Amino acid sequence: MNRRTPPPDHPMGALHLPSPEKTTLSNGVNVWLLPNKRAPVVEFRLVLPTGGRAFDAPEWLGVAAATARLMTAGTPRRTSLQIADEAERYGGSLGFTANTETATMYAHCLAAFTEPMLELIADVLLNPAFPENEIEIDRTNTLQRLALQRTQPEFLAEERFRKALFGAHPYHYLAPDEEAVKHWNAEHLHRFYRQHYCPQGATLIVVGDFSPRRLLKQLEAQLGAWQGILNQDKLPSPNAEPAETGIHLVPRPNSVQSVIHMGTLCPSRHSPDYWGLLLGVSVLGAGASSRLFLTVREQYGYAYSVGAHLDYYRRISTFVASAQTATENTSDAIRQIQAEIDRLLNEPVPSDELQAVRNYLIGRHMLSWVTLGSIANLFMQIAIHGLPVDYWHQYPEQVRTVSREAIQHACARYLRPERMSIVVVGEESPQHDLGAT
Amino acid sequence: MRIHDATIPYKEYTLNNGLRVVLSPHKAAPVVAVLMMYQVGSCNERPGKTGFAHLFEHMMFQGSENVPREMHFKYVESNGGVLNGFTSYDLTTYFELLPTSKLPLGLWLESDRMRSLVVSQENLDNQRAVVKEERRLSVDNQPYARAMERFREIAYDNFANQHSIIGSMEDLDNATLEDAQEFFRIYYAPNNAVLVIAGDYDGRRVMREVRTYFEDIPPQPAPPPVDCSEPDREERREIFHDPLASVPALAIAWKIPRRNTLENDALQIAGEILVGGRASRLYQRLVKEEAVAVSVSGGAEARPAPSLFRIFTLYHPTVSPERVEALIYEEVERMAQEGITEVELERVRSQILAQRWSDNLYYGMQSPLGRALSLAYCALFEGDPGEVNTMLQRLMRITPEQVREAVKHYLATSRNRTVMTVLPASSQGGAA
Repeated sequence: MNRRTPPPDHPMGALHLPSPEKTTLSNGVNVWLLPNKRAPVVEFRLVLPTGGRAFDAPEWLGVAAATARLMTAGTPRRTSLQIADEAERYGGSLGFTANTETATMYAHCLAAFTEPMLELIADVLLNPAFPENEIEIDRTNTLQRLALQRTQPEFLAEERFRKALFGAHPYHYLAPDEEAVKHWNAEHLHRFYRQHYCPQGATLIVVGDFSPRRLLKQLEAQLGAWQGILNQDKLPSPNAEPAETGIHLVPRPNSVQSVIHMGTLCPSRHSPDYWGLLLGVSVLGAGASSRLFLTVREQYGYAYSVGAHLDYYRRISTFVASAQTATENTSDAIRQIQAEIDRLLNEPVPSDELQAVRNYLIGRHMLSWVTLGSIANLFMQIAIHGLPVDYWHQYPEQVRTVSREAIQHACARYLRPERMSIVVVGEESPQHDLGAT
Repeated sequence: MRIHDATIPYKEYTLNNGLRVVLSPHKAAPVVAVLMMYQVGSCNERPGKTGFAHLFEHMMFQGSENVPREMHFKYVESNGGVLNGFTSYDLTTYFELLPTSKLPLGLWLESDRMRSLVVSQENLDNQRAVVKEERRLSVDNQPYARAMERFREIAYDNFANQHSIIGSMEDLDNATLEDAQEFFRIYYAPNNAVLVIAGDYDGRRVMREVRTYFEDIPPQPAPPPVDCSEPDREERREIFHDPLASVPALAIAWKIPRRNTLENDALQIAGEILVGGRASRLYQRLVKEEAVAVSVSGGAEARPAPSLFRIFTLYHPTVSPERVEALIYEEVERMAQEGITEVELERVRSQILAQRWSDNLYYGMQSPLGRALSLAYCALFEGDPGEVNTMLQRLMRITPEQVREAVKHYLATSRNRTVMTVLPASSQGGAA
């Protein structure tokens, strides 16, 4: 047999991707149902468009995150222990997270417990009590976690990087303010809840083994009493240009490695340049055959983990290239990353490399349809960013058809060296002159 | 829930060269997992050579006779697949998750490196540098990570179990080309591995293809057995000053029996009730009722060798570690005396089923990769992939009395116990 070259493929049928059944509850909650019997599990995702950190008042940074954390801290009918115990007895979990813009609820359960789980979700969502004793425990622990985060190099890098990109814009909010943590009380959390946890504009996604008709009836019965007027997203758009470019060192004593974040601001997912950027950034830093992986890691051995990606917000996206390298290699690693970005601006991507990246992105995407939870997460992305509901169905075609010219054009427009903010967390060392500001 | 819902179907074959092959059909998505697991891990390393099994794992991506350097990554990713490898104490795993049509590619890649890996000095030096960065990233530059590496050294008494998988910088520097060639010959033989193909594949042709790619790779003498046994001993205690930490921590572990024993199964359940999640007894006691800790985690390991039952808690600097330790022992003692309730056991059974059905691409049954991993573990550790189904049934039948007995015997004692307090270096007197 011939072992010299890769073997031919087996034939493969077309992939059928499911679409959600969309409906609206009487109080305005958008409901997207994707019944699917591949596992005896039901996944729930709820998107609250303005529940995120960017909607914190500047003097009360951290209230959005505390509200999300403490949603499961008790209701008039259930203690925090009862909520945790019930969710686990249903073979599931239930929790809320505050992201930059949105708050999201993640819940799942074994299919046999769908109805009691939904009743639990409804009680928690509609009747949070924010009990004083739970707030006190959370206050102490939040302060300790903050101390812990300040020892973690990745956190320090992310915090400084957001300030460099967004300046004073609320998108930069990440850690809570220590004084705010010390002083907030139940009324702050109740107020944030009333303003931002509203049925209008909220989207509930349910994926898994359930009967849509029965579930809908139950959703109306359980969530129908949820009322409130949505506090609209009135945030100003962030500047299109990064607030600070150049190199910024965050000193972290006793570091043996520098954590490097390099990046800039790019347009939102709705921009015509989006697909070109996505493909370009993937050539640069997605996966183990990307340029950054093959040079910075495989050729030079400078880093174990190196890559680049886009992070998305409603009004903007960010390009981030990151690596961790031994202190003495810091400036060389930065130069290598910059050289690879420059190559992307100055040369069209060779067609075989482009074909490989197209296949990689489409293949990765297909893997997102394998589990119920990742299917739910795909549709959550659509809800968060207001993307067309067939966004993921169109994704392979979009990735296949974006042109080399569009890629180079988008990269040349947004990834220019003078637009880059570079953050280095580590030991200040005479061995590497970063010219940091 | 009916337990048989969670049965994983499989068929098992052994090739003439000793390679075990497990097939497991699952047509939920047009994706197939190709997973090769070799029975070698850090427990097979000798003193002075720590970290070698993991360093060698990196070498497996550096090219073989027909697959040039870098091309392993490119072949998989440019065909829409994902790949990785990982090294643990007891085995080393490689996998590709591919579109159904690319199954032959996965078989070709795995067979080519098993047959004809290219081990060069240049590649070894390069991957040594990469692994040293991995060590800096995951251990040397992270709070608590150095402490936990040291903790394992004192929790175990046998070198095979004591040392870390990533190894020491000094030993990584000492790894030679001859070590790599020798390691490949001894451990990377077909008779020391299991190949699992799980997911959507054509059952009529798959074994013919597997034989074509693998059956003429010659077997090797069985690798030398490794002694992982652990002696009983008295309690061992240590204080670790961590210059990267800002919050103090307490780690406690007991040596317990290997996986797939009644004792280990019972301690898995005990672990869930003691530290698994927010309804667990220690979370409720330490974080909520007494408010002495920020977090608590742990549970029973399931190695095919003496394992550890671990508890790790970040506690408040205003509280003494002795108080936190005493509270933990109080809860352990209570479980040893009074046992667990049927309600708690029901909760854990739901959680075990839910974990089985988890949507984690790597560990849950929803994904072909998760199925392949579970089957491979049982094929190598228990000698029978079918254990993946019977183990679940046994676990679901554990009684409250069996849990109480196991806790009383293995945890409610200072025998085989290790206690480490991790203090921020600043608490030695420096400025905070």
